[in-house]
Amino acid sequence: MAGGGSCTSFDVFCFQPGDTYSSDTMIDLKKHHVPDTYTDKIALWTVKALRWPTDLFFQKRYGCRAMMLETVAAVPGMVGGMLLHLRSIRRFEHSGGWIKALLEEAENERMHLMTFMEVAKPQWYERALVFTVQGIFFNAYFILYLVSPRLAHRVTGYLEEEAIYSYTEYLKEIDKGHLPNLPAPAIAIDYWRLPKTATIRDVVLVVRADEAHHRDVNHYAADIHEEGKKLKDSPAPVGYH
Amino acid sequence: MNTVAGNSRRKVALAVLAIRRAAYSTCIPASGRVIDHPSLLLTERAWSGSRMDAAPTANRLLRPAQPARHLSVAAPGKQDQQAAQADDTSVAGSRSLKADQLVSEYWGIVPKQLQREDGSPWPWHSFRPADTYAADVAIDVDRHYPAEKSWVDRAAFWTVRALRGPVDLFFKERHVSHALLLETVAGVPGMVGGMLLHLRSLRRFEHSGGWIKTLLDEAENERMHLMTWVEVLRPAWWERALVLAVQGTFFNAYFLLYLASPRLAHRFVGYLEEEAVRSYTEFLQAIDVGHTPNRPAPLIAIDYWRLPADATIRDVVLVVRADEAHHRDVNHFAADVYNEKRELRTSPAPISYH
Repeated sequence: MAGGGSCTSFDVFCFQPGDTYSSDTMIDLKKHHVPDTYTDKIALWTVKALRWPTDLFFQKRYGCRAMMLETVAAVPGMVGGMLLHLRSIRRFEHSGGWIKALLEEAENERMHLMTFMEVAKPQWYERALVFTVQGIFFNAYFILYLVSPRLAHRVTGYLEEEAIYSYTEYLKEIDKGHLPNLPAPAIAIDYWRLPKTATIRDVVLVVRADEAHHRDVNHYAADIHEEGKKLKDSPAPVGYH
Repeated sequence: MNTVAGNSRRKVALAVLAIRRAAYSTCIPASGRVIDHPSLLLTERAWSGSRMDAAPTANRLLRPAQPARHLSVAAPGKQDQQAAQADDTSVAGSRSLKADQLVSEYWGIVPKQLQREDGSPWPWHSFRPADTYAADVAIDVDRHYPAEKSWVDRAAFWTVRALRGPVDLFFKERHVSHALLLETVAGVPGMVGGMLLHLRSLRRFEHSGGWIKTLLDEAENERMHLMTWVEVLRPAWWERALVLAVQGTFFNAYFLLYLASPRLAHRFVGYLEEEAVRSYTEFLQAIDVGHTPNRPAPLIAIDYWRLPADATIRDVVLVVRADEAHHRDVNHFAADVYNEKRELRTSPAPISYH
Protein backbone atom coordinates (compact mmCIF):
# COMPACT_ATOMS: atom_id res chain seq x y z
CA MET A 1 0.00 0.00 0.00
CA ALA A 2 1.48 3.26 -1.09
CA GLY A 3 0.36 5.27 1.93
CA GLY A 4 1.20 2.73 4.63
CA GLY A 5 -0.53 2.67 8.02
CA SER A 6 -3.33 0.49 9.24
CA CYS A 7 -6.12 2.99 8.67
CA THR A 8 -6.14 2.67 4.93
CA SER A 9 -7.90 -0.16 3.22
CA PHE A 10 -7.44 0.49 -0.45
CA ASP A 11 -4.59 0.74 -2.90
CA VAL A 12 -3.68 4.15 -4.16
CA PHE A 13 -0.56 4.46 -6.20
CA CYS A 14 -0.60 8.11 -7.14
CA PHE A 15 1.35 9.24 -4.12
CA GLN A 16 4.03 7.65 -2.01
CA PRO A 17 4.92 8.24 1.62
CA GLY A 18 7.48 10.82 0.50
CA ASP A 19 4.73 12.88 -1.12
CA THR A 20 2.71 13.28 2.07
CA TYR A 21 3.02 16.41 4.16
CA SER A 22 1.45 18.44 6.96
CA SER A 23 -0.34 21.53 5.75
CA ASP A 24 0.47 24.82 7.43
CA THR A 25 -3.00 25.89 8.60
CA MET A 26 -1.57 29.08 10.11
CA ILE A 27 -1.19 30.55 6.62
CA ASP A 28 -2.78 33.98 6.23
CA LEU A 29 -6.19 33.45 4.65
CA LYS A 30 -7.11 37.10 4.36
CA LYS A 31 -4.42 38.12 1.89
CA HIS A 32 -5.92 39.64 -1.22
CA HIS A 33 -4.20 41.11 -4.21
CA VAL A 34 -5.63 44.55 -4.74
CA PRO A 35 -5.98 44.99 -8.49
CA ASP A 36 -3.98 47.98 -9.67
CA THR A 37 -3.91 47.58 -13.43
CA TYR A 38 -6.55 46.89 -16.05
CA THR A 39 -5.32 43.34 -16.44
CA ASP A 40 -5.81 42.69 -12.74
CA LYS A 41 -9.25 44.26 -12.77
CA ILE A 42 -10.28 42.11 -15.74
CA ALA A 43 -9.04 39.05 -13.85
CA LEU A 44 -10.88 39.94 -10.65
CA TRP A 45 -14.18 40.78 -12.30
CA THR A 46 -14.10 37.68 -14.50
CA VAL A 47 -13.75 35.55 -11.41
CA LYS A 48 -16.45 37.47 -9.54
CA ALA A 49 -18.78 37.14 -12.53
CA LEU A 50 -18.22 33.38 -12.66
CA ARG A 51 -19.01 33.13 -8.99
CA TRP A 52 -22.66 34.13 -9.42
CA PRO A 53 -23.87 31.15 -11.56
CA THR A 54 -21.74 28.80 -9.45
CA ASP A 55 -23.43 29.99 -6.26
CA LEU A 56 -26.80 29.62 -7.97
CA PHE A 57 -26.08 26.03 -8.99
CA PHE A 58 -24.56 24.74 -5.75
CA GLN A 59 -26.13 26.92 -3.08
CA LYS A 60 -25.32 25.30 0.22
CA ARG A 61 -24.07 21.97 -1.14
CA TYR A 62 -20.47 22.66 -0.31
CA GLY A 63 -19.26 19.08 -0.50
CA CYS A 64 -20.51 18.75 -4.04
CA ARG A 65 -19.18 22.22 -4.85
CA ALA A 66 -15.70 21.32 -3.59
CA MET A 67 -15.66 18.13 -5.62
CA MET A 68 -16.75 19.76 -8.87
CA LEU A 69 -14.61 22.87 -8.56
CA GLU A 70 -11.49 20.82 -7.90
CA THR A 71 -11.95 19.31 -11.37
CA VAL A 72 -11.56 22.85 -12.69
CA ALA A 73 -8.82 23.88 -10.28
CA ALA A 74 -6.49 21.11 -11.39
CA VAL A 75 -6.35 22.39 -14.98
CA PRO A 76 -4.38 25.68 -14.72
CA GLY A 77 -1.34 24.16 -13.05
CA MET A 78 -1.11 21.40 -15.62
CA VAL A 79 -1.58 23.74 -18.61
CA GLY A 80 0.95 26.24 -17.23
CA GLY A 81 3.45 23.52 -16.39
CA MET A 82 3.16 21.95 -19.81
CA LEU A 83 3.57 25.25 -21.67
CA LEU A 84 6.59 26.18 -19.57
CA HIS A 85 8.05 22.70 -20.18
CA LEU A 86 7.66 23.06 -23.94
CA ARG A 87 9.10 26.56 -23.83
CA SER A 88 12.11 25.46 -21.80
CA ILE A 89 12.75 22.69 -24.32
CA ARG A 90 12.48 24.75 -27.47
CA ARG A 91 14.45 27.70 -26.13
CA PHE A 92 17.10 25.53 -24.45
CA GLU A 93 16.56 27.51 -21.26
CA HIS A 94 16.29 26.67 -17.58
CA SER A 95 12.89 26.98 -16.00
CA GLY A 96 13.65 28.33 -12.56
CA GLY A 97 11.74 25.48 -10.95
CA TRP A 98 8.36 26.77 -12.16
CA ILE A 99 7.48 23.68 -14.19
CA LYS A 100 7.70 21.57 -11.10
CA ALA A 101 5.90 24.15 -8.95
CA LEU A 102 2.92 24.34 -11.31
CA LEU A 103 2.71 20.59 -11.90
CA GLU A 104 2.79 20.05 -8.15
CA GLU A 105 -0.09 22.50 -7.79
CA ALA A 106 -2.07 20.54 -10.38
CA GLU A 107 -1.36 17.24 -8.66
CA ASN A 108 -2.31 18.73 -5.30
CA GLU A 109 -5.66 19.95 -6.65
CA ARG A 110 -6.24 16.50 -8.13
CA MET A 111 -5.63 15.00 -4.71
CA HIS A 112 -8.26 17.40 -3.35
CA LEU A 113 -10.61 15.95 -5.96
CA MET A 114 -9.72 12.36 -5.06
CA THR A 115 -10.50 13.25 -1.46
CA PHE A 116 -13.82 14.99 -2.03
CA MET A 117 -14.88 12.19 -4.37
CA GLU A 118 -15.08 10.05 -1.27
CA VAL A 119 -17.29 12.67 0.39
CA ALA A 120 -19.74 13.52 -2.37
CA LYS A 121 -20.39 10.92 -5.02
CA PRO A 122 -21.02 12.59 -8.40
CA GLN A 123 -24.36 12.13 -10.18
CA TRP A 124 -24.67 11.56 -13.91
CA TYR A 125 -25.59 15.17 -14.67
CA GLU A 126 -22.70 16.44 -12.55
CA ARG A 127 -20.35 14.22 -14.53
CA ALA A 128 -21.77 15.59 -17.78
CA LEU A 129 -21.29 19.13 -16.51
CA VAL A 130 -17.67 18.40 -15.58
CA PHE A 131 -17.01 17.02 -19.08
CA THR A 132 -18.39 20.16 -20.68
CA VAL A 133 -16.65 22.56 -18.35
CA GLN A 134 -13.31 20.80 -18.78
CA GLY A 135 -13.56 20.94 -22.55
CA ILE A 136 -14.20 24.69 -22.47
CA PHE A 137 -11.91 25.68 -19.62
CA PHE A 138 -8.90 23.67 -20.76
CA ASN A 139 -8.88 25.26 -24.20
CA ALA A 140 -9.66 28.74 -22.88
CA TYR A 141 -6.90 28.62 -20.26
CA PHE A 142 -4.43 27.15 -22.79
CA ILE A 143 -4.99 30.06 -25.15
CA LEU A 144 -4.99 32.54 -22.26
CA TYR A 145 -1.65 31.25 -21.01
CA LEU A 146 -0.16 31.58 -24.48
CA VAL A 147 -1.50 35.10 -24.91
CA SER A 148 -0.91 36.48 -21.42
CA PRO A 149 0.64 34.29 -18.71
CA ARG A 150 0.30 37.25 -16.37
CA LEU A 151 -3.46 37.41 -16.74
CA ALA A 152 -3.64 33.63 -16.47
CA HIS A 153 -1.75 33.54 -13.18
CA ARG A 154 -3.75 36.47 -11.84
CA VAL A 155 -7.03 34.74 -12.71
CA THR A 156 -5.85 31.59 -10.96
CA GLY A 157 -4.79 33.63 -7.92
CA TYR A 158 -8.24 35.20 -7.67
CA LEU A 159 -9.90 31.81 -8.26
CA GLU A 160 -7.97 30.48 -5.28
CA GLU A 161 -9.08 33.46 -3.19
CA GLU A 162 -12.68 32.55 -4.02
CA ALA A 163 -11.92 28.94 -3.13
CA ILE A 164 -10.68 30.04 0.30
CA TYR A 165 -13.92 31.95 0.82
CA SER A 166 -16.00 28.94 -0.22
CA TYR A 167 -14.13 26.60 2.11
CA THR A 168 -14.63 29.08 4.94
CA GLU A 169 -18.38 28.98 4.24
CA TYR A 170 -18.16 25.17 4.17
CA LEU A 171 -16.61 25.24 7.63
CA LYS A 172 -19.38 27.49 8.90
CA GLU A 173 -22.03 25.10 7.58
CA ILE A 174 -20.31 22.17 9.24
CA ASP A 175 -20.08 24.06 12.53
CA LYS A 176 -23.77 24.99 12.36
CA GLY A 177 -24.57 21.30 11.80
CA HIS A 178 -26.17 21.75 8.36
CA LEU A 179 -23.60 19.50 6.72
CA PRO A 180 -22.45 16.19 8.19
CA ASN A 181 -19.04 16.05 9.80
CA LEU A 182 -18.15 12.47 8.89
CA PRO A 183 -14.79 10.83 9.54
CA ALA A 184 -12.13 11.86 7.06
CA PRO A 185 -11.49 9.53 4.10
CA ALA A 186 -8.41 7.34 4.42
CA ILE A 187 -6.75 8.96 1.44
CA ALA A 188 -6.89 12.34 3.19
CA ILE A 189 -5.47 10.96 6.44
CA ASP A 190 -2.55 9.50 4.51
CA TYR A 191 -1.90 12.43 2.22
CA TRP A 192 -2.04 15.21 4.79
CA ARG A 193 -0.72 13.12 7.70
CA LEU A 194 -3.88 13.78 9.72
CA PRO A 195 -4.62 11.97 12.97
CA LYS A 196 -6.72 8.82 12.61
CA THR A 197 -9.66 10.55 14.30
CA ALA A 198 -9.72 13.35 11.75
CA THR A 199 -13.03 14.50 10.34
CA ILE A 200 -14.22 16.30 7.23
CA ARG A 201 -13.73 19.56 9.09
CA ASP A 202 -10.00 18.86 9.46
CA VAL A 203 -9.81 17.99 5.79
CA VAL A 204 -11.45 21.27 4.81
CA LEU A 205 -8.98 23.15 7.02
CA VAL A 206 -5.93 21.63 5.32
CA VAL A 207 -7.42 21.93 1.84
CA ARG A 208 -8.14 25.59 2.48
CA ALA A 209 -4.52 26.08 3.59
CA ASP A 210 -3.39 24.47 0.33
CA GLU A 211 -5.59 26.84 -1.67
CA ALA A 212 -4.06 29.79 0.21
CA HIS A 213 -0.62 28.61 -0.78
CA HIS A 214 -1.65 28.27 -4.41
CA ARG A 215 -3.07 31.79 -4.26
CA ASP A 216 0.32 33.06 -3.07
CA VAL A 217 2.23 31.17 -5.75
CA ASN A 218 0.01 32.36 -8.59
CA HIS A 219 -0.13 35.99 -7.46
CA TYR A 220 3.65 35.91 -7.09
CA ALA A 221 4.02 34.55 -10.62
CA ALA A 222 1.74 37.30 -11.93
CA ASP A 223 3.71 39.92 -9.99
CA ILE A 224 6.91 38.69 -11.60
CA HIS A 225 5.37 39.22 -15.02
CA GLU A 226 4.08 42.63 -13.94
CA GLU A 227 7.57 43.73 -13.05
CA GLY A 228 8.68 42.79 -16.52
CA LYS A 229 10.82 39.90 -15.34
CA LYS A 230 10.84 36.32 -16.45
CA LEU A 231 9.72 33.39 -14.39
CA LYS A 232 12.96 31.57 -15.12
CA ASP A 233 14.95 34.23 -13.28
CA SER A 234 12.84 34.15 -10.12
CA PRO A 235 13.08 30.82 -8.35
CA ALA A 236 9.80 29.10 -7.68
CA PRO A 237 8.64 27.65 -4.37
CA VAL A 238 8.97 23.93 -4.96
CA GLY A 239 8.37 21.35 -2.30
CA TYR A 240 5.32 22.57 -0.44
CA HIS A 241 1.90 22.57 -1.96
CA MET B 1 42.36 58.99 -46.47
CA ASN B 2 42.80 58.71 -42.81
CA THR B 3 39.38 59.83 -41.76
CA VAL B 4 37.77 58.04 -38.87
CA ALA B 5 34.90 56.87 -41.05
CA GLY B 6 37.28 55.69 -43.77
CA ASN B 7 39.39 53.80 -41.24
CA SER B 8 36.42 52.05 -39.69
CA ARG B 9 34.96 51.13 -43.08
CA ARG B 10 38.29 49.60 -44.04
CA LYS B 11 38.48 47.68 -40.81
CA VAL B 12 35.00 46.30 -41.34
CA ALA B 13 35.83 45.32 -44.90
CA LEU B 14 39.04 43.60 -43.79
CA ALA B 15 37.19 41.77 -41.04
CA VAL B 16 34.51 40.53 -43.43
CA LEU B 17 37.19 39.39 -45.86
CA ALA B 18 39.06 37.56 -43.12
CA ILE B 19 35.85 35.89 -41.94
CA ARG B 20 35.01 34.74 -45.44
CA ARG B 21 38.51 33.48 -45.98
CA ALA B 22 38.49 31.59 -42.70
CA ALA B 23 35.06 30.14 -43.21
CA TYR B 24 35.75 28.95 -46.71
CA SER B 25 39.32 27.85 -46.42
CA THR B 26 40.33 24.31 -45.78
CA CYS B 27 39.91 23.77 -42.08
CA ILE B 28 41.39 21.00 -40.05
CA PRO B 29 39.35 20.61 -36.88
CA ALA B 30 40.69 19.09 -33.73
CA SER B 31 39.28 15.71 -34.61
CA GLY B 32 41.75 15.42 -37.50
CA ARG B 33 39.20 15.17 -40.28
CA VAL B 34 39.98 17.42 -43.23
CA ILE B 35 36.99 19.28 -44.61
CA ASP B 36 37.22 20.85 -48.03
CA HIS B 37 34.43 23.29 -47.71
CA PRO B 38 32.00 23.56 -44.90
CA SER B 39 28.41 22.58 -45.46
CA LEU B 40 25.66 22.29 -42.96
CA LEU B 41 25.43 18.57 -43.35
CA LEU B 42 29.06 17.67 -43.04
CA THR B 43 30.75 19.83 -40.44
CA GLU B 44 30.34 20.54 -36.81
CA ARG B 45 29.43 24.17 -37.48
CA ALA B 46 32.88 25.44 -38.36
CA TRP B 47 31.77 29.05 -38.00
CA SER B 48 29.55 28.91 -34.96
CA GLY B 49 32.12 29.37 -32.26
CA SER B 50 32.89 27.43 -29.13
CA ARG B 51 32.50 24.08 -30.80
CA MET B 52 34.41 20.98 -29.96
CA ASP B 53 35.52 20.32 -33.52
CA ALA B 54 35.31 23.78 -35.06
CA ALA B 55 38.15 25.34 -37.05
CA PRO B 56 40.32 27.28 -34.62
CA THR B 57 40.74 30.32 -36.92
CA ALA B 58 37.07 30.74 -37.63
CA ASN B 59 36.42 30.27 -33.96
CA ARG B 60 38.75 33.07 -32.93
CA LEU B 61 37.47 35.51 -35.52
CA LEU B 62 33.80 34.98 -35.04
CA ARG B 63 33.53 34.53 -31.31
CA PRO B 64 35.61 35.78 -28.44
CA ALA B 65 37.63 33.13 -26.67
CA GLN B 66 35.27 31.17 -24.48
CA PRO B 67 36.12 28.64 -21.84
CA ALA B 68 35.76 25.06 -22.98
CA ARG B 69 33.08 24.55 -20.35
CA HIS B 70 30.03 26.72 -19.90
CA LEU B 71 30.04 29.26 -17.07
CA SER B 72 27.58 27.23 -15.06
CA VAL B 73 30.11 24.44 -14.99
CA ALA B 74 32.46 26.65 -12.98
CA ALA B 75 32.63 26.27 -9.22
CA PRO B 76 29.39 27.58 -7.73
CA GLY B 77 31.10 30.01 -5.38
CA LYS B 78 32.71 31.85 -8.27
CA GLN B 79 29.44 32.03 -10.18
CA ASP B 80 27.51 33.34 -7.18
CA GLN B 81 30.16 35.98 -6.57
CA GLN B 82 30.00 37.06 -10.16
CA ALA B 83 26.21 37.22 -10.01
CA ALA B 84 26.33 39.21 -6.80
CA GLN B 85 28.84 41.62 -8.26
CA ALA B 86 26.71 42.07 -11.35
CA ASP B 87 23.73 42.90 -9.13
CA ASP B 88 25.66 45.33 -6.96
CA THR B 89 27.34 47.31 -9.68
CA SER B 90 24.20 48.44 -11.51
CA VAL B 91 21.73 50.70 -9.79
CA ALA B 92 18.85 49.32 -11.76
CA GLY B 93 19.97 45.83 -10.89
CA SER B 94 20.01 46.53 -7.17
CA ARG B 95 16.58 48.19 -7.34
CA SER B 96 15.01 45.22 -9.05
CA LEU B 97 16.67 42.84 -6.61
CA LYS B 98 14.98 44.62 -3.71
CA ALA B 99 11.62 44.69 -5.44
CA ASP B 100 11.88 40.98 -6.12
CA GLN B 101 12.68 40.31 -2.49
CA LEU B 102 9.79 42.44 -1.30
CA VAL B 103 7.37 40.69 -3.61
CA SER B 104 8.57 37.24 -2.73
CA GLU B 105 8.46 37.99 0.98
CA TYR B 106 4.97 39.48 0.76
CA TRP B 107 3.61 36.30 -0.75
CA GLY B 108 5.70 34.16 1.55
CA ILE B 109 7.63 32.70 -1.33
CA VAL B 110 11.17 32.45 -0.03
CA PRO B 111 13.00 29.56 -1.59
CA LYS B 112 14.89 27.43 0.90
CA GLN B 113 18.64 27.60 0.72
CA LEU B 114 19.72 24.05 -0.01
CA GLN B 115 23.22 22.66 0.09
CA ARG B 116 25.28 19.97 -1.49
CA GLU B 117 26.93 17.31 0.63
CA ASP B 118 30.11 19.35 0.78
CA GLY B 119 28.24 22.40 2.11
CA SER B 120 28.36 24.49 -1.04
CA PRO B 121 25.05 26.20 -1.95
CA TRP B 122 22.77 24.29 -4.27
CA PRO B 123 22.77 26.20 -7.56
CA TRP B 124 19.86 24.53 -9.36
CA HIS B 125 16.20 25.50 -9.22
CA SER B 126 14.59 22.84 -11.34
CA PHE B 127 15.78 19.95 -9.23
CA ARG B 128 16.68 19.54 -5.59
CA PRO B 129 19.11 17.21 -3.85
CA ALA B 130 16.25 14.78 -3.24
CA ASP B 131 15.58 14.56 -6.99
CA THR B 132 19.09 13.37 -7.76
CA TYR B 133 19.78 9.69 -8.19
CA ALA B 134 22.36 7.21 -9.37
CA ALA B 135 21.29 5.64 -12.65
CA ASP B 136 21.42 1.86 -12.93
CA VAL B 137 23.88 1.45 -15.80
CA ALA B 138 23.62 -2.32 -15.55
CA ILE B 139 20.17 -2.12 -17.17
CA ASP B 140 19.86 -4.32 -20.25
CA VAL B 141 20.41 -2.00 -23.20
CA ASP B 142 19.99 -4.64 -25.87
CA ARG B 143 16.39 -5.47 -25.11
CA HIS B 144 14.04 -5.13 -28.03
CA TYR B 145 10.31 -5.56 -28.04
CA PRO B 146 9.44 -7.91 -30.89
CA ALA B 147 6.76 -6.33 -33.09
CA GLU B 148 4.85 -9.52 -33.69
CA LYS B 149 1.70 -9.32 -31.67
CA SER B 150 -0.45 -6.90 -33.61
CA TRP B 151 -0.55 -4.45 -36.46
CA VAL B 152 -0.33 -1.59 -33.95
CA ASP B 153 3.07 -2.81 -32.80
CA ARG B 154 4.25 -3.30 -36.36
CA ALA B 155 3.03 0.17 -37.39
CA ALA B 156 4.89 1.75 -34.49
CA PHE B 157 8.06 -0.19 -35.22
CA TRP B 158 8.17 0.56 -38.94
CA THR B 159 7.35 4.26 -38.41
CA VAL B 160 10.32 4.61 -36.10
CA ARG B 161 12.47 2.59 -38.47
CA ALA B 162 11.50 4.84 -41.36
CA LEU B 163 12.39 7.97 -39.38
CA ARG B 164 15.78 6.54 -38.50
CA GLY B 165 17.16 6.82 -42.04
CA PRO B 166 16.82 10.58 -42.62
CA VAL B 167 17.80 11.39 -39.03
CA ASP B 168 21.02 9.40 -39.26
CA LEU B 169 21.75 10.95 -42.63
CA PHE B 170 21.27 14.43 -41.19
CA PHE B 171 23.45 14.01 -38.13
CA LYS B 172 26.08 11.50 -39.27
CA GLU B 173 28.95 11.74 -36.77
CA ARG B 174 27.66 14.79 -34.91
CA HIS B 175 26.63 12.88 -31.84
CA VAL B 176 26.23 15.74 -29.39
CA SER B 177 24.10 17.70 -31.81
CA HIS B 178 22.05 14.54 -32.41
CA ALA B 179 21.56 14.08 -28.68
CA LEU B 180 20.71 17.74 -28.16
CA LEU B 181 18.05 17.90 -30.84
CA LEU B 182 16.48 14.56 -30.13
CA GLU B 183 16.09 15.34 -26.45
CA THR B 184 13.93 18.30 -27.45
CA VAL B 185 11.61 15.79 -29.11
CA ALA B 186 11.85 13.26 -26.31
CA GLY B 187 10.56 15.72 -23.72
CA VAL B 188 7.17 15.96 -25.40
CA PRO B 189 5.50 12.50 -25.15
CA GLY B 190 5.74 12.17 -21.38
CA MET B 191 4.23 15.60 -20.85
CA VAL B 192 1.42 15.09 -23.34
CA GLY B 193 0.60 11.66 -21.94
CA GLY B 194 0.76 12.88 -18.36
CA MET B 195 -1.49 15.83 -19.10
CA LEU B 196 -4.10 13.76 -20.92
CA LEU B 197 -4.17 11.18 -18.14
CA HIS B 198 -4.48 14.02 -15.60
CA LEU B 199 -7.45 15.50 -17.43
CA ARG B 200 -9.04 12.08 -17.80
CA SER B 201 -8.63 11.36 -14.10
CA LEU B 202 -10.34 14.67 -13.32
CA ARG B 203 -13.32 14.33 -15.60
CA ARG B 204 -13.99 10.67 -14.90
CA PHE B 205 -13.43 11.02 -11.14
CA GLU B 206 -11.03 8.09 -11.29
CA HIS B 207 -7.69 7.25 -9.77
CA SER B 208 -4.71 7.22 -12.08
CA GLY B 209 -2.65 4.30 -10.84
CA GLY B 210 0.41 6.52 -10.52
CA TRP B 211 0.84 6.88 -14.27
CA ILE B 212 0.50 10.66 -14.35
CA LYS B 213 3.50 11.04 -12.13
CA THR B 214 5.49 8.41 -14.03
CA LEU B 215 4.96 10.07 -17.38
CA LEU B 216 5.59 13.58 -16.06
CA ASP B 217 8.79 12.34 -14.39
CA GLU B 218 9.85 10.87 -17.71
CA ALA B 219 9.30 14.23 -19.42
CA GLU B 220 11.25 16.04 -16.72
CA ASN B 221 14.06 13.52 -16.99
CA GLU B 222 14.30 14.02 -20.74
CA ARG B 223 14.36 17.77 -20.16
CA MET B 224 17.27 17.30 -17.75
CA HIS B 225 19.06 15.37 -20.50
CA LEU B 226 18.51 18.42 -22.71
CA MET B 227 19.76 20.83 -20.04
CA THR B 228 22.87 18.70 -19.75
CA TRP B 229 23.61 18.56 -23.47
CA VAL B 230 23.05 22.29 -23.84
CA GLU B 231 25.96 22.79 -21.44
CA VAL B 232 28.14 20.76 -23.78
CA LEU B 233 27.02 22.29 -27.05
CA ARG B 234 25.28 25.57 -27.77
CA PRO B 235 22.64 25.22 -30.48
CA ALA B 236 23.12 27.13 -33.73
CA TRP B 237 20.39 29.38 -35.12
CA TRP B 238 19.19 26.82 -37.65
CA GLU B 239 19.06 24.11 -34.97
CA ARG B 240 16.81 26.37 -32.93
CA ALA B 241 14.60 26.98 -35.95
CA LEU B 242 14.44 23.25 -36.59
CA VAL B 243 13.46 22.60 -32.99
CA LEU B 244 10.65 25.15 -33.21
CA ALA B 245 9.27 23.51 -36.34
CA VAL B 246 9.58 19.99 -35.02
CA GLN B 247 8.02 20.82 -31.66
CA GLY B 248 5.05 22.48 -33.29
CA THR B 249 4.44 19.44 -35.48
CA PHE B 250 5.27 16.68 -33.04
CA PHE B 251 3.35 18.09 -30.08
CA ASN B 252 0.12 18.30 -32.03
CA ALA B 253 0.64 14.97 -33.76
CA TYR B 254 1.41 13.13 -30.53
CA PHE B 255 -1.50 14.84 -28.75
CA LEU B 256 -3.93 13.56 -31.38
CA LEU B 257 -2.23 10.16 -31.44
CA TYR B 258 -2.55 9.77 -27.67
CA LEU B 259 -6.23 10.68 -27.85
CA ALA B 260 -6.84 8.24 -30.71
CA SER B 261 -4.73 5.33 -29.52
CA PRO B 262 -2.68 5.52 -26.32
CA ARG B 263 -1.49 2.01 -27.06
CA LEU B 264 0.09 3.02 -30.36
CA ALA B 265 1.49 6.15 -28.72
CA HIS B 266 3.25 4.24 -25.94
CA ARG B 267 4.54 1.58 -28.32
CA PHE B 268 5.86 4.31 -30.61
CA VAL B 269 7.69 5.96 -27.74
CA GLY B 270 9.06 2.61 -26.64
CA TYR B 271 10.59 2.07 -30.05
CA LEU B 272 11.85 5.66 -30.13
CA GLU B 273 13.66 4.99 -26.88
CA GLU B 274 15.15 1.83 -28.36
CA GLU B 275 16.55 3.98 -31.15
CA ALA B 276 17.83 6.46 -28.57
CA VAL B 277 19.66 3.66 -26.79
CA ARG B 278 21.19 2.56 -30.09
CA SER B 279 22.29 6.13 -30.90
CA TYR B 280 23.88 6.59 -27.50
CA THR B 281 25.72 3.28 -27.96
CA GLU B 282 27.13 4.66 -31.20
CA PHE B 283 28.04 7.85 -29.34
CA LEU B 284 30.00 5.76 -26.84
CA GLN B 285 31.78 3.98 -29.66
CA ALA B 286 32.67 7.33 -31.26
CA ILE B 287 34.14 8.52 -27.96
CA ASP B 288 36.10 5.32 -27.47
CA VAL B 289 37.51 5.48 -31.00
CA GLY B 290 38.39 9.16 -30.54
CA HIS B 291 36.11 10.77 -33.14
CA THR B 292 34.32 12.73 -30.45
CA PRO B 293 36.32 14.35 -27.67
CA ASN B 294 35.74 13.17 -24.13
CA ARG B 295 35.56 16.44 -22.19
CA PRO B 296 34.78 16.75 -18.47
CA ALA B 297 31.13 16.34 -17.61
CA PRO B 298 29.03 19.49 -17.00
CA LEU B 299 28.33 20.32 -13.36
CA ILE B 300 24.59 19.89 -13.79
CA ALA B 301 25.16 16.27 -14.83
CA ILE B 302 27.47 15.60 -11.90
CA ASP B 303 24.84 16.93 -9.49
CA TYR B 304 21.81 15.33 -11.11
CA TRP B 305 23.18 11.82 -11.59
CA ARG B 306 25.47 11.90 -8.56
CA LEU B 307 28.53 11.30 -10.72
CA PRO B 308 32.07 11.55 -9.34
CA ALA B 309 33.66 14.99 -9.66
CA ASP B 310 36.04 13.78 -12.37
CA ALA B 311 33.27 12.36 -14.56
CA THR B 312 33.51 12.82 -18.31
CA ILE B 313 31.08 13.01 -21.21
CA ARG B 314 31.40 9.26 -21.57
CA ASP B 315 29.98 8.75 -18.06
CA VAL B 316 27.14 11.14 -18.87
CA VAL B 317 26.30 9.18 -22.02
CA LEU B 318 26.27 5.95 -19.98
CA VAL B 319 23.75 7.24 -17.45
CA VAL B 320 21.61 8.97 -20.08
CA ARG B 321 21.49 5.72 -22.05
CA ALA B 322 20.42 3.87 -18.89
CA ASP B 323 17.61 6.41 -18.44
CA GLU B 324 16.46 5.91 -22.02
CA ALA B 325 16.46 2.14 -21.48
CA HIS B 326 14.24 2.62 -18.45
CA HIS B 327 11.84 4.82 -20.41
CA ARG B 328 11.76 2.15 -23.10
CA ASP B 329 10.70 -0.41 -20.52
CA VAL B 330 8.05 1.87 -19.00
CA ASN B 331 6.46 2.73 -22.34
CA HIS B 332 6.49 -0.83 -23.65
CA PHE B 333 4.90 -1.91 -20.37
CA ALA B 334 2.18 0.72 -20.76
CA ALA B 335 1.48 -0.48 -24.29
CA ASP B 336 1.39 -4.08 -23.06
CA VAL B 337 -1.25 -3.13 -20.50
CA TYR B 338 -3.42 -1.88 -23.35
CA ASN B 339 -2.57 -4.97 -25.42
CA GLU B 340 -3.98 -7.13 -22.66
CA LYS B 341 -7.16 -5.06 -22.69
CA ARG B 342 -6.53 -3.73 -19.20
CA GLU B 343 -6.45 -0.13 -18.04
CA LEU B 344 -3.47 1.83 -16.87
CA ARG B 345 -5.17 2.80 -13.66
CA THR B 346 -5.40 -0.78 -12.44
CA SER B 347 -1.81 -1.66 -13.36
CA PRO B 348 0.48 0.23 -11.01
CA ALA B 349 3.10 2.30 -12.70
CA PRO B 350 6.81 1.93 -11.99
CA ILE B 351 7.41 5.20 -10.15
CA SER B 352 10.42 6.45 -8.20
CA TYR B 353 13.10 5.80 -10.78
CA HIS B 354 13.36 7.80 -13.94
